[in-house]
Amino acid sequence: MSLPIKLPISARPTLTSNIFTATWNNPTLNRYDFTNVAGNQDQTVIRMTGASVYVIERVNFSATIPEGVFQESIDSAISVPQLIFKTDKTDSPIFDRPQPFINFVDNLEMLLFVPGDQSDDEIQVTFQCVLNQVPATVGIVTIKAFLQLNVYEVENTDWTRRFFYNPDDTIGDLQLRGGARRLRINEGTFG
Amino acid sequence: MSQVGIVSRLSTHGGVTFTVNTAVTDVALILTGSPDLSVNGTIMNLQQGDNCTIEGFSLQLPYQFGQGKFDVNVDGDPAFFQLGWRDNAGNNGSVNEVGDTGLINIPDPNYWYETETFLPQPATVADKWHLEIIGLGGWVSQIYAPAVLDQEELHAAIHLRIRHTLPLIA
Repeated sequence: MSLPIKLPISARPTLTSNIFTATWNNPTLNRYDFTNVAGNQDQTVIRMTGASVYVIERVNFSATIPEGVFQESIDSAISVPQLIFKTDKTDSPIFDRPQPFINFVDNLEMLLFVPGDQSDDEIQVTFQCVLNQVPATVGIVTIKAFLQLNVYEVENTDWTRRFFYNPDDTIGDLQLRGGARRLRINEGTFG
Repeated sequence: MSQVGIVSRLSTHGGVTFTVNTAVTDVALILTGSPDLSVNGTIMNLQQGDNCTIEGFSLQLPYQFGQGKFDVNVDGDPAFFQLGWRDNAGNNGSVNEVGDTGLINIPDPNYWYETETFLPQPATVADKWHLEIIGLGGWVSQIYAPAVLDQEELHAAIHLRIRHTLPLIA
């Protein structure tokens, strides 16, 4: 599968890395609890500068235990493992809802456009996950989970101008696809 | 997946005995109390919240005993021991993850048996907890028993190897 997208040649790819850690029995007895560890919350994924558009194009997710063991360990009575992405300054989620990760993914394609509306903003991620100890994880004190994104930063003026293009002046105009700005029709002057 | 964690070799220190009797063909193993599985005679507990895997066990008899006959009755049923747990508040029970309420057969003495038995922390455990022997059945052959040991009380021991996550505590 390949998602079609045409980026300007000046777009800069960046590989991000986020590592989340859970320790057996701490802070939750008899669990590997990622959720209630401050260090797993609001980690910086990538810093954003204003006027650029950031395209999350690829996702990798894994952990220090085998995938089958990870799945077997999921305490679904509490929740499924999930990643929550948001921007720091506006504190607004960049996905509509938390993204569940119940398996390891390698080069999962996606296209999510995140505008750098404000200077010195950043994309942040929180990992929520509670794992049980299963036979294969006896003896393991710490489990780490890894998230890597491939993010393109686009600061090309023409491209970003079209992305930020405000359609209010043009009735019924479509906007370039994007997570934060979707199709809008100026109802006030329509017809 | 590579093996990780803490490996502890536990054993009983006393509590499992038999008395040599050269006038009979076999004598019973005697369990006194519920001996703890300990390290060097000191009770070592699993911390609350820890789980473990039993990796192996053995029943050790003094040299040469048990070679000719080692069972629980004339039917040739194997000897067995029963594994239990106890926490420091006195809660206790059998380890039901093993066989029938913690019963483990011992086909031969002085032989190491491998197993991979996941042992989660008992649900009712309070604070730290340890393993103990709560049952035992076995007859030890007295054929060719040395006359010099007649009526001597000899000790046997049960050994266990476990793999766990958190350090043992006293």
